[in-house]
This record gives sequence, C-alpha cells and structure tokens, in this order.
Amino acid sequence: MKDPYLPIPIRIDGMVFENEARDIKTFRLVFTDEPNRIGFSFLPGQFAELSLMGAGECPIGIASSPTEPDHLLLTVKRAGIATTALHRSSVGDIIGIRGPLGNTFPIPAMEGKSIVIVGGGFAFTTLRSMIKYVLAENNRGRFNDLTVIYGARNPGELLYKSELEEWEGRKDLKVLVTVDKGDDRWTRHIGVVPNVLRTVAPAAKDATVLVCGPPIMVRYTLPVLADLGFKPESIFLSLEMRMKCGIGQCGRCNIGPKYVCKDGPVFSFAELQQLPQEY
Amino acid sequence: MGAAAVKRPATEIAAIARELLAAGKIDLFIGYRQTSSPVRTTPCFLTPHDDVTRLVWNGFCSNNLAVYLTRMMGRKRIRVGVVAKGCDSRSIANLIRENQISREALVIVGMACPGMLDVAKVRAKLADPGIEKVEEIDGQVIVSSKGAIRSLARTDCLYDGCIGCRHPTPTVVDRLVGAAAPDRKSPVLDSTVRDFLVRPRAERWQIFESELAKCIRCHACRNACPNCYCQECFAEQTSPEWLSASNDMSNTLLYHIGRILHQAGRCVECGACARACPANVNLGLFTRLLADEVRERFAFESGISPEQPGLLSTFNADDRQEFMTEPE
Amino acid sequence: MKLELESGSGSILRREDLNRFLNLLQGSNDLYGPTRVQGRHEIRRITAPEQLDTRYANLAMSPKSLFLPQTETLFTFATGNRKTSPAAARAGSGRNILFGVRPCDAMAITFLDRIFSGEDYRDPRYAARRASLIVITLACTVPDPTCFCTTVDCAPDSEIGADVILFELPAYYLVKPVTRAGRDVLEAAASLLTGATRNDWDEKHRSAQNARQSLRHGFDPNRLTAKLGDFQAPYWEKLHRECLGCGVCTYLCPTCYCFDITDETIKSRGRRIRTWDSCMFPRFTQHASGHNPRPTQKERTRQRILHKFNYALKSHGRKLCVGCGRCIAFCPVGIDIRSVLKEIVES
Repeated sequence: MKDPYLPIPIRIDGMVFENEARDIKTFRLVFTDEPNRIGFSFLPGQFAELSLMGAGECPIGIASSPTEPDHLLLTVKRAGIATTALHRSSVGDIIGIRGPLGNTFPIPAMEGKSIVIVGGGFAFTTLRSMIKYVLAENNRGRFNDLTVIYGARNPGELLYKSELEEWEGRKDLKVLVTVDKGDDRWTRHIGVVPNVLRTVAPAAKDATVLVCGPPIMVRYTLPVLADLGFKPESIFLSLEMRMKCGIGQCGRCNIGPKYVCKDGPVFSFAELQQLPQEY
Repeated sequence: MGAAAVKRPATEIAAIARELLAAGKIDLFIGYRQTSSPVRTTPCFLTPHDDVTRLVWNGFCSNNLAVYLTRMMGRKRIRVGVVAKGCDSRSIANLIRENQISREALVIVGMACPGMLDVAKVRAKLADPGIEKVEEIDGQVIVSSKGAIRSLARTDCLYDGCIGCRHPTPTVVDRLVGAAAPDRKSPVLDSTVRDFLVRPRAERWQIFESELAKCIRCHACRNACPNCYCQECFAEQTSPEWLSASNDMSNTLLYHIGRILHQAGRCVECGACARACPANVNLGLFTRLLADEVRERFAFESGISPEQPGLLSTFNADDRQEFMTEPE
Repeated sequence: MKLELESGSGSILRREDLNRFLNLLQGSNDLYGPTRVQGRHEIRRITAPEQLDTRYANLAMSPKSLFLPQTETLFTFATGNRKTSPAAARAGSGRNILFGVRPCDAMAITFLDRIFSGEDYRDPRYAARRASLIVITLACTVPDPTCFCTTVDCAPDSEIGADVILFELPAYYLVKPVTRAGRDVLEAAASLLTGATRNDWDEKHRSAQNARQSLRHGFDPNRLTAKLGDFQAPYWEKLHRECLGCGVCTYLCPTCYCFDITDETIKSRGRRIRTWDSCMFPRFTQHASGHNPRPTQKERTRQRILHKFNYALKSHGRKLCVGCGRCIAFCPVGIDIRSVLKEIVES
C-alpha cells in the first residue's frame, strides 16, 4: 500500500485573485506526471491536502469538476502559514498534493431529482465543482432542475465572477447571485442568502439541497429550508475543521465519533443532528 | 484550657472555608482533598454548599494551587480563597505584582509548611512499595505497608527542593494556620545542587543534556508552573517559529533554556515543575541553580511581597555585569 | 521437542534461565526488555544480562514509543528544487524481541494496529516496526493500586497482543505461544523448556484469580455507556477544574495516538515530522481563522473522556482504555479517571 503521507508533485500552472481584498486566490494545478493525473480520480465535494515544503499542508476543497480533466482548480484563502506560502508561490512552482480525500456530495442519491445549491462567500468552492459536474453534457440529463443561490458580503467578495455571469445566461440552470451590501456598479440582487432562498422558494419534493457557507449563514438558512419542507435527510452541508493527516489517523478533526476528513466533510443535516454540536 | 486543644490544621482550614463561603466573602475556595491513595492529594474546589470537611492538610499537599488563580480569576470577577504554603504564597505575590490577579479578590489561607514528603523517598525505605496508611506525628512519618509499620524521620523524606526552603511561612497571607516559622537566612543547599556546582563545565553540560534527553515535550512543567500564564507560549508560536515540536536535543534544549530563563527573578523554587514531569527530568536542579544565581548576583529573592519590584524590570547603575563584559 | 499451540499446553521455564531464554530467542537480533533507570522501570535495548529487571507492576512509560516514536520523520525535502525524498521507512531488520510488556500494554498495541495498520490506510513506518518486533508479554501477579484493567475488558493474564506470554509462578515461568510467529521463535529456546502439567495451569489460574481480585473497579463500567450519552450534562462544568491541560495523561497512555504533522527546515533542507500531540492542548483544534470548537478545558476534558469511553465504542467497538493506570499515577494534580467516571455514573 502506498505511503499515505507522501505528497505527489503538481505544478502551479496559473493563479488568479478572486476577490478585491486579494486574500483569495484560485490556483490552476497540473500534475507533472500523467499516471498521477489519471490516478487522481475524484468527485465533487472532496478535498486535497496541498503541501508546501517547509511551510506545511492545508486542506482545500477541490473547486474544479472531474469533467475538467486536464487540471485541478483549488481556491485558497490566505489564513495561516501554509496558505501564506502558497499565496507567495509563483507560476511554474511545483508543490505537493495528497488526495482526493474525504467523502463526496451524495451524487447517486441526487440522480433523478432536482438540486438546490445554497452557497455563501468563500465556502462556494466545492459547490462550483458540483455545478460544473451537473452542467457537463454527459451528466445534465441525470438530474432535474438546478437552482443556485449564491451570496457574498459585497460584490468584491464573490468568487468565480465570470463563470457566474456565464451561468446566468444559460437555460439549464437558474442562478441568483446576491450580496448583503451592493456598490454603485451592482445591478443584481441585494439581500442575505436566507431571505433570497425564502423568496425563490424552490420546491422541496424530490429535491436535494447542498448548503455551504459561513456558520451564521447556515444557521439562518436551515430554518428556511425546514419551512419550505426540506427534510433533514435531503439537506447536505460541508464542514470545515482543523486537519492534519486528512485520513482519519491524527485524531483532531472529530465531531463525536465521526472524522470530518474521512466520514465528511459532507454530512447530511440528519447526521449532524445526531452528533455533538462541537464545530 | 485543656478542652480548647490545638485544632488539627485540616479542621481549621475547613472552618475558615465554611465561614468565608457562608458569609459570601468568596465565590470559590481552593484547597486539597485526599484521593483513594494515602500518599496523594488532589486540588479541591469548593463553592457554597459544597462539603468543606473533604479538605485535608498533610505532607502530600505538594501542588502549588496558585497555578489555578490566573485561570479562575483572570477574566471572571470572582473572589477566591486559596490554601497556600510558603512557596505558593510567593507565587501569589508574583502574580499580584505582575498584574495577573487582584489582591482584593483573594483570601489567602497560609499554611506554615513543614516541607512536603517525597513519595519516592518514602517508598525507597520500605521493603514493599505498597503503602496502606500514613500518619505524621511529631516529626515522624508512620507508614503501614503490607502489615508492617515503619517509623521514618520526616526530614529524611522531604523533597530535595523542600530541604533548603528559606520561606516555610507564607509571605503574603490573610489567615495563617499553624505557628509561623522563621525564615532561614543561611540557606542549606541540597546535595544535588552542591555536587553539580563543583563539577567541571563540560561535565555539567553533559549532565544537563542527559537529563533533557529524557524529555518528551509534554510541557507539563510549564502547565504546572504558576508563572507560566502566557496566553501564547513561545514554544508554540508559529510566527516566528522558535522551535519545533520534536524532542530532538536542539528543540528540547531551546524549550527548557527558554522556559527557565523566563523564570529569572520569578521562580520561587516550589518544585511543581519537577514533580509534574513524567519523564523524571531533574528540573529541580535547574530551577534551584537559577534561583541561586539570581540570589548571588542580585541579592534578590522572588515573591517576598507584591510590592517588591520585579528583578528584570528594574535597573541599578551598579548592577553586576561582568557576565556580559567578561564571559567565562 | 515439538511445541503445541493448543491452549492448556505450554512449557515450563526455570526462573534462573530467563536471560538465557531471551538470548536464544533474540539470536542475532536485538532484545528490548525492562531495566531499572533511576528508580523506574523502562524498556531499553538489553546488551548485558544484569540489565534485565522484572521487579515492577508496570513500566513507567508505555512501550508505544517503540512503534509510534515521539518524533518521526515522514520524509525529507529540499526546498530549492522542491524535491521530495521519502525517508526510508526503517525496514524491520529481522525479528527483534520485545520482552516485559504487561497484558494491558500488549492489548493497547492491538488498538494502535487498527489505526495505523488498518484496512483503509497503512503507515509503512509503523508497519515495519511492528513487523520487526516479537511481543513477549509478562503476565501480572501483583497489580498496582492504580491498575484497573478488568474494568475495561482486559485482565492480568490477557493474551491479546502477545506473540508469546509468560506467566510468573513462584518457582518458574509458564510459557505459552499465542501466535504462529511466537511459536516459531520459541523453537530456538526449546532446549530450556519442559512440558507443563495440569497442576502448573491450575497454579497459574489461581495466581491470575488473586491478581484479578486485588483490582478495584472504581466505577461500574456497565452503567457508564448509557450515562455518557449526554453531551450537555451538567457534570462537565466541574470535572475539568483541576486539570492543567498538561497532556501527561495522553502522552503516557498506551492507547493515545493523536499526532501533529509539521515541517522543519534549515536553510534549503527540511523534513516533515510527525510528533505526539494531545486533545488536551488548546491548539489541537484551533482553526487558522482563530475559531476553536474546544475553547476551554471543559470541552477538551469532555472530548478526552467521550473519545475513550463513548466514541471509540461506536467506531471500534471498544473503549480506548486498557486500565494501565498511568494517567492516575502520573497526573501532576492527582486526577483519578476512575473517580471521574464514578461521578459521571452516579450523577
């Protein structure tokens, strides 16, 4: 069995700032060896540990979809030592990657149903993976309606701005982008995500909801979903925890008996209700 | 007069605790209670309506309870009553001087301390290490072990650090239990420190390293020390990263040298660090050496009063400085 | 002579032959055994017969550091050219002998196996070390007052985790192979072993029974599981107060395995290391953002107790405790986990 702690090399092929505060960057990563690329088989919802030799590792959700096979996109917020080292890297640098890690969004269970995606701020990364996956030509027919509600504090903080615009123009999904507070160029919706959700009122019947956002957004979104008739078993969240090994060995990312890196990061709300509220 | 016999210290402590809690003068009382072992006590936290008769006082009350004060009193405005031996009270004086706790919110129940018993020394004198019962009477420690009863001289069983104790009576105190014993002006150095100092320098370094080779970097020494109240310890800083978590010698040395030097002028030689260490590192040697150095160079004793200025926060024009200008 | 693997057979080894016995088993490999170091018993590499000392209830430090060292290099790297060189997993050279492990510690090793050498992920360093050590358990006769193995489904004569087990009787040892590897390694010492009789086993059972009876439960394990279901129970407010958060309990515990992964660098060279960590440390769960799901000692103490006595039951079907009592003996402030659990059971 291969050594689970050894990162495999991957090259930074490009990077772009996502937000005006310039502390969130999306990295386009390309494997240096083709067998590694082929072996890195993942599905939306999963994450990887990015390795900066000398600085450490950071667990980052995979923002690209497996339907974008030539590269990986990972969106990283600068917070600690490893993410700062990553932000200071240059195109052409070779870093390390371990993964894919964690569980996936419940794709088989979502087939034949509608999908509602509710995202907030920086947490939208793996939701992008899911959206691109569903929209891919070979996959679209497997799912019914796709509704995306995505909000940020202000327009500058929105991720994937050009893609959001592109999606707004498509017919095979409904996208509502909102901000808490607009600026003088903002022409779209203004309002917090839970309120927009209440207004859009997507149908709960035969639908799955994926919710990823800051804790406060999640806290106010869940009651709205309950009011709309969504059952806890069909609501899924992606959690964040301090992680190190990413494979359920180092003991630090647990919520009760579950490890966020291994049994998560995707949990149904029904599952979370059974676990201690310690996250 | 015969009926008003001298109260056992434990009874007196309990009475004081009861009185303070009932009168609402304190919110919390911290003392000692016995564990299931006759040679082990544990800190006892009492709030109003808790049973004060659990409180004990014996030769196994070695923990320095001042370590709880910063956590208990730091952010909350609670008033605490605490049992303090000589060394503990000096820790408290330091914490007050360093603005970590408030004198007004404290009631210090001082104990005139006869020195604490080192269980390892007691066990070493017995045929069988199992101890069933211990009584301390008139300078003797009477140990029942596997049916046999042995009477040991108390002075033979003291912790190394307690042997040379200069301040057995608390320096800052509200209620004193037991008769005050005079401070010892002519210090008695324990044999380990004396022995260490006469060795050549290279050998002293080798002893230092071989002790630290046992360290497993648990940092219990730091957590047991009342002076180590930093919210972020230098050992855990990531920016700059002074040292790593590994127990190889360079990191271990830096941790211990750093910690001990941070104690200069503050360490009261209570021995909490040495007793806390699970790996048997002879930390007492280092802390007592440091305190000796401070005494010799600056004629300074830590924790005599909360008003006493800190050693490293004062400067005199005639401070000795040959250790900088003419290092060995 | 042929050594039978069935229970009830086994062999007799005279006490005075112990050193020779171990030397024969060790052959050209290493022998790790108990020796007295500054008044405590520790496992060290034994190079001379007089080093061996079995007069202890248990070793001061658990043998887990032989499998999971405090610091372990995962791999080395050079930051200049970003090359990763995996540190050679110390390939187990031959079969070394680890003698003197008590049944509680031997059982604990099997718990570590499930984490580090499990179905999903296998740590090659751990696996190599594990494969290179034959575990010879020395069963207990006189437990310490801090021992409570029987409360947590272990026993003074438990054979779990042993390759070979030695039962100490007044005049001799009763030797029994437990695994195939143990049986194979015993062949080398066959000349020192004679057949055991029914009487020998009866005496062993009596001795084990005496040891069991001297153990104090301290709390009712059968009522514990139900009681630990309440995450918000009021007793959590008080149970943590004495705790210094020093981590001694976790570092000495033979079943505690939590670790940290960090990088060390000198100029352009470095290594990624795995070091012991503890759920009792504040930074264990602290996010880079500053958010900490376990901000005070209350949450951390609750985590430790629930992990060991509740969550592990759900994930592994076992309490993560073998009753070795080190946490009781070495806690700087005398916290007794049995009293803590008793208070929970009786709340």
